[in-house]
Order: sequence, then C-alpha cells, then structure tokens
Amino acid sequence: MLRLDRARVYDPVQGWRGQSRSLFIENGRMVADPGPQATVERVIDLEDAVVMAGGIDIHSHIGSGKVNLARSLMPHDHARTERATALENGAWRHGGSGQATPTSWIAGYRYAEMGYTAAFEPAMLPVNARATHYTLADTPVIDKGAYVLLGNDDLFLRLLARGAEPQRLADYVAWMLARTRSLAVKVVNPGGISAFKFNQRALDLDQAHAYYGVTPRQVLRALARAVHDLGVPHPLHVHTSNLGVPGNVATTLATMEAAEGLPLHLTHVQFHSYGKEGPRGFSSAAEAIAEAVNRQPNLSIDVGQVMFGQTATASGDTMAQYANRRHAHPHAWTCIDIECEAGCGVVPFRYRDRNFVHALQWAIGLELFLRVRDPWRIFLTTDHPNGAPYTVYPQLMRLLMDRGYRNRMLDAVHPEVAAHSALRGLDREYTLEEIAIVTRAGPARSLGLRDRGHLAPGAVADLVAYRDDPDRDAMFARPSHVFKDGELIVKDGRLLAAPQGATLALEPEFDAAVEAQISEHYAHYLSLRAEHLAVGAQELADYGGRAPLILPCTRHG
Amino acid sequence: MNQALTCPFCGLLCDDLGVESRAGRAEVTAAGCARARALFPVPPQAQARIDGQAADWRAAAQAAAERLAAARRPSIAGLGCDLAGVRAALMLAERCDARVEHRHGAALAQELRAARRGGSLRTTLSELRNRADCVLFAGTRAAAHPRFFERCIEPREGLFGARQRRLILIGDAAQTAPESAALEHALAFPNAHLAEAVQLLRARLAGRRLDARHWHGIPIERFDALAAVLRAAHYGVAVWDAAELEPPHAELALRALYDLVAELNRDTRWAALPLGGNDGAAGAAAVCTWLAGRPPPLRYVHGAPQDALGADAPDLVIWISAFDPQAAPPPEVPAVVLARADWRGSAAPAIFIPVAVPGVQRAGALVRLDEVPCLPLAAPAPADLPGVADVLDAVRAGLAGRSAHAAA
Repeated sequence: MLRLDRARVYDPVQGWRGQSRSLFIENGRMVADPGPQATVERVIDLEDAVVMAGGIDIHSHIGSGKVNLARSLMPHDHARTERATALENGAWRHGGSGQATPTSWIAGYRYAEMGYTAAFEPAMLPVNARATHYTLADTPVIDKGAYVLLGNDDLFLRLLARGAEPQRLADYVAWMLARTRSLAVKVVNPGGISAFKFNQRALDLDQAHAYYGVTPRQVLRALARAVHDLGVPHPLHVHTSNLGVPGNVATTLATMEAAEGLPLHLTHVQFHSYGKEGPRGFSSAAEAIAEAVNRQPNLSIDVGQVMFGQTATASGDTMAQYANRRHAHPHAWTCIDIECEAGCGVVPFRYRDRNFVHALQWAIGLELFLRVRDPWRIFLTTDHPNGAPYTVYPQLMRLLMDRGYRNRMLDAVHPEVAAHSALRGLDREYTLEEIAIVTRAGPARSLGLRDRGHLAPGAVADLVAYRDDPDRDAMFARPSHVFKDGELIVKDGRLLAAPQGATLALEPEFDAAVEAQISEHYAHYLSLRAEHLAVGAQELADYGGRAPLILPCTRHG
Repeated sequence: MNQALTCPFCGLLCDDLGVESRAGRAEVTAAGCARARALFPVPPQAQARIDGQAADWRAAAQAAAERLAAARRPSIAGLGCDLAGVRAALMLAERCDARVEHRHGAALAQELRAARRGGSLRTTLSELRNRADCVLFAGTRAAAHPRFFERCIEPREGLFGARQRRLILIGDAAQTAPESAALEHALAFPNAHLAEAVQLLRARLAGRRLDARHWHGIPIERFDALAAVLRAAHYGVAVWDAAELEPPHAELALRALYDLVAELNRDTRWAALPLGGNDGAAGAAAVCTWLAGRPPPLRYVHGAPQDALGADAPDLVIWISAFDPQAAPPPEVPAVVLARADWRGSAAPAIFIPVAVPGVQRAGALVRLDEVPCLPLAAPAPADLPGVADVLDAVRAGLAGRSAHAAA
C-alpha cells in the first residue's frame, strides 16, 4: 500500500476543497483509510501540494488520420526534434517531434508531464478506426478512446431518407460503436460533409441535402435519439453547421433547440459563437450562447479556446475547411472526400494576437468560460490542435483563475478587441475546485468514466500533485508528482516511467439483421468489406496496445 | 476456404479474395489478379543463414545486432512489411541511429513535396467508384494496380444510380493494359511533358490567350475541348502514379495537377486520387509520420528523428521484403535480409532471415493507397516463421546488451 501524506485534495465529487489529508493507494486503485494497523509499504510526503485526479481531455485530435496529414503538411513543426532517453526503470522515452502536431509517443509523454492521464480522440472515421487505435496504442501513459464519426455516411443518410425506424438507426449506430471500438458518437456538420460531395458549399440547419433531401436537423435529431436510446453515456458530440462563419450564432442556438430536450454535447463552441455586428462584420455572440447553455440543462459544451501562435486546423468538416483554405499558413492545405463515410480537411493556421479576428476569437472563448455558470457542463479544451496545442492548458488555466493577468493580456492584443468584447467586465476567477471540475470531474462524468475524475475509494489511482504557486501557469505546467494506476510516473515534471494506458470503449448490443444489411451495403457499393472495419481486441494487444476496456452501456427506449 | 481476405501485394488492398491453404501454401481461389495468384503461394519454411551457413533465426538476429553495432551508417530499407514491422523498424533505428527508407520512398517524397506546395483536394476509391462521371488519367493507365479498373471504374451501378464515365488519358501512350481499353487518349505526349501540358490546360481553363496554335504538334483546340469536358463533370477525379513520372519534372507535374483540380473545383467537384502504396508504402508513410513526424526516408541522429537529406551511402543495410520475392537490396553493401521464404533478390546476403508474409502466413494490418482506410491482414496459411517485427525486436534486444550510444 502507498500512502500520500499532506495532500490538499480538490475532489469536487467528494466535496473536498483543499483540506490537507492522507490518500491511500493499493493495486492501482484508491482505497479508504485502512486504519493504523494496516501495512503501508511506502509513504510520500506531498508537502501540502494541491492534489487532483489526473486531468481528462474530452476532445483532442491525437489519433486520427487527419492529424497525421497535418504532421506531413507541416515540416516546420517537426524540424525541432526530441531525443530518445532512457528512463529510470530501464524503459525508453522515445524520440519524436512536433509542437502543434506532436508525434504520438511525445503526445502521451507531454500529457503525462502536465498531469493529464486521459485524452480522447473525437473524430474517428470507421475506415480509419484501425489506424487510429494503433496510433492511440502508440500514445503512451494516458488512457484513451475515440468517438466514431457518423451522420455523413451514405448508408446512414439512405436509411434516414427512406424513413428507417429509430430502432434500426440505433442498431446501426450500435454496430459502428461496437465494431470500431468507440466510446461515443460524433457528428460533424450534420449531412454537410456529404452535401459538399454533391457540390453544395453551405448547408444550414433546415436546408435540404441536394441528393437525400434530409436536413441537418433531421440528422442531428436521429443520431441524438439513437445515442440516447442505446444508453451511450456521453451525449451525441456535435460539431454544428457553419463552423467559423460570422453570424453562425443563429445556427448554434437553433441546433441547441433542435435536440428537443435530448442530451447534446456541443463541441468547440467558441468557433460557433460568432455574430456579424460591428464595422468588421465579426462580433462576439458568447453571451447569447452562454445564456442558452445556462437555460438548457440537457446541454454541455467544450470551448475550443484559441491561443496565439502556429497550429494546424484539422477537421472532418470539408465544407468549412475548403472555405477556410485561403487562410492557410503556411500555404499548404488539403481536403479529402472519404469513402462514402465522411471527409477531412487540414488547414495550417497561425493565430496572431494583433489580428482583430483572432484576438476576438480568443476573447470569445474566455467569455464562454466565464459566462457559463455550471462548471459541470463546460469542459476545458482547445480542440487540440485547432485552437492551440494542448500544451497551452496551464496558461489557459491561469487566464481563467487570474483576472489581473487576463486583463493585462487583453491590453496586449489587438486594441479594438477590448471595445468589442465584454471580457474586461467579467470579474469571475475560477477556483481550484472549478478547475478540477472543468478539467477532470466534469469530463469523466460526461463520458461515463465512473472510476476516473475523482479520488473516492475504488477510483483508478490517477492523480497529480501541484506545488501551490500564485502563478497558476507555472503551477499547472510542472506537477511535482503524477501517478498513473498508482505508479509514480512523473516527478518534478520529469517522466520516470511510460506504461501503456487503457483504451476505453463501449460494446452496445445490436440486432443481427443490421449487421447483414451493413455487410451487404459495403460489399455491393464500397471498395472494402464492412467486416474489415472491425478492430479486434487481440489485434490491439498484438500491436503493442492493450485489449480495450469495455464500459457499461445499457439500452433503453 | 477463407472468404474475403485482404491482398497485401499492391496498394489497392483488394479485400474480397478467396484463399485456400493446400499443404501449407496459400492459393487464391476467388477474385484476385495474376500477381496475387503468383505471390500468395509461399513456402512455409526456409533456412536462416549467416554468411551462407545455416542458423537458427534467433542466432541470425543476434549476428545482425553485432554487425549493426559495428556499422557506422546503417540503413533499414526496403521496408516492405506491415504496420507492426514499420513500428519495430523505427524503434530499432532510434536505438542505433539508422536511416529508415522505403523502396518507393522517392515516389512518396515527390508526392509529399508537391502537396506541401499548395492545396490538394483528394478522394478515395469508394468515392471514385460511386460518384465519378469523369476520370482523368494523367500519365498512367494504373498498370501497377491490376484490379483498379475492375474494382473502381467498371462498376457502373453505384449508390447514386448508373454512372456514365468519361475515361480520359493524357500523356504517355507507351504502356498498355488490357483493362484500360476504354480510355480516350485525349492528348498523347511523353510523360516528361506532363507538367507543361497541365499548365497549358490550366491556362486555357482560365481563359488565357495563347499565340501558339500547336503544342508538340497537338492543336490547341484539343486542349480547349478537353478543358470543356473536365469543366462539365459533376464529380471528376484526376488519377496519377508518381512512380511513373520522372524527377525533376514529376513534382512540377503533380503540383500542376493539384492546381488544376483545385481550379476545376471552384465551380464543380473535382478531386485527385494519387496511386501508389505498393509494398506497404502507404502504411510505412503513416506509421513513420505518427511516430517520427515524417515519412521515409528519414534518419535518427542521437535518437532523434530527422529528414534524411542527401544519400550518404550506407555501410550496412537491413533489407525488408516480406511481400516481394525479387526486391533486391542495393548492391555492394553488406545486407541483412528479412524476406519471404522464397526471396531471391540477390545471390548471397550476409545474413538471411525468412519471415512470415503478413496477410498470408501472419495477421497484420496495412494502409490502402488512398491513405485513410486501414485494413486487416489475415493468415490463411500460418507458418512457423517469425514476423518482421519479431526479428527486428530481437535485433534490438541484441543491441541492448551492447553499449548503444543513444543511452548517452
């Protein structure tokens, strides 16, 4: 047994708010105080460090093929490389490269070194599932999982257009979830990626798809219903229509209503909170969005905060990314129509603090963080790497916790932003407890990770200790201790060990008839067989990962 | 019989093959092309050799580790293997500062350099098969991918009803493939002129005036007629194979083609489908990119991945050819060969270690030539041979006993 003494624990699930206490760990799990008779093999004095469960990133593009495309399009991002080094336990910290698009080994280490112990790839195409899971297996230390991208695939759209029963659509979604080893379902620009293949260049919520005649609203509603009926813990993960378009606030608000009370998670909402007021035709609509979130308890969001510097935007939304191609920096971009399933677009991008639009995007993200009142329904993300690489999280936490710092930064960005944003008037400063909610407890609850995101007895012993420091950026950037499954893996920001994390997935049941229908569709029309989408448990272990850990998922409705 | 297996012998990864195992050898009994029928049958065993002497494969891997430790400029090359093999190659290269190269690395690099110089709109096989009403073959008849026509072009009945496709060839007319009889040879010229021809086509599409009436004997009106056809497509696809184009013009030609596609796409839909990916090249590019930040060729320096610029001659090659029985390592360099049991690429490599063929003798995975789909490989005729990754891991373990400088 391991005992951690003098831990000032912030665990919102247990209502712990920083009182100094001891924690007990056995066989990789948290255990209750075993009393004075128990044998404790090892004691670590945390010296009143701030302790939280390991961080959980609910939306980070670290595994899918589009990130690999971004890597290959950005040689400058990979010019600076890291050497392989031997770790204390004889294992290796592999070499790699990349800041905005880190290579997979490096991506895992960097998460661990800043106290994150889980991250989830939010956009996995079924045909790319195997490569995504292999890449995630090559992302060490952290636990991981992926959300399968549906809603633009021709089979689903055909079923929907022909009026398939909700039951049948749910079977289809269940088959895709189970076979591709996914943890949740994501829809990107509902129907719009498909519409782009038919040369539609925009598709608003109630606009009909040129071929199928269905609208994004119908796609969204059908998928939200299926996800709900299947008992998938995480609500439908939605990237709404009109990404990045000035004035898209109307679409985003309408999308929220379109759920008709069903649970919905709207992702990287910052990119969907734009008005078109003001002399430049671009304004913040964060207040309206935040008010709608506050009003509708069925909604959760993650922010997709923009931070300044070079990054890459990578999205399944070919329609939007094709429109954004002219902003590419450096100049190279790519968009791909993919396999009658979906698409992807990669546009390298540099956010500049002296650019009005970019600086306002930064302010809009912060406004959302500060205006949404319930921290359990808003999660901290940059939509890595779209708004910024996840390595900016410590600085972002400081922006949320330190109003003086925030206002100094506001003074330094494009001078008109302060006038066009209410940011300076927002006094709120996040507490450590709120940080613990938006970076671990909230995401864990939303994803159905019952034994993660908190430190109650039985929880996985993923936890992190930060030396208290008024400079929250410095504090969160370099934890004093990180434990993964009870093993000390980081000390003073330095990696000690690089174990393989778990892949978390669902295995919902489905009617066998849907399997036959999917098989026939693929065999008849597509250039690969449906059964070859399925990723085997053993095959992941053979490649070097771990067999997936299956979370419960109970069908109802 | 094993139904619907994936064929690893070209970048198309046709996954509809029927395969039977007879006396330990796989035979294609349904679907498949001549290449698949020739390459699926592979002997279940062969002898590992060190300097011509029979040896156990583990002893051969240990001997390889010793030679690798003594080498100053080692290269892991060929790289014809599955994803797990590529991963193992990188982990070994990281430990001994080796280069990592793929047999088709030159074509990969041309593709990538062209894509990095601007925009690229691309598509995949199923999109082509179901949507394309116009396919522009630029300097290729897809001869390196035997079932391309059968699987992607000939099926007319698709998701969106029947498709009439215009199939247009521009460029070299020298090669022939019986499947491609239906191609309209719109503009015939040597492939070396492809870049120029595409630029001319772009100029006419943009409405630019030309003083010349002919180009290499072809009337400019033919370019205009072709431009009109391309513009009229609802979903056009430009197909090429970088391996059939010669540097230095290849990169210019690919860039011009990507620009042509992007310009056509302003009003209608167009996308490109670069062919390639044979001998596991697409998978090698994918794994090297996610683990080392760049496709092959690359090299490790002090355990850090870098672009491998220039061609410093290696003094030891670990040559991997699990798919092709004939692929030969560079001559006059001592070679450790990891290859299929019936490999005959050179007379007497320093060390030969037979490996299981992924997709025939061992399960694995590969990436298709269109880069997104990643397909499983089955083992219809399992053999008592190590996989490429097993051997490379054993070599790495053999190195670990020595003082690898990367530990410094």
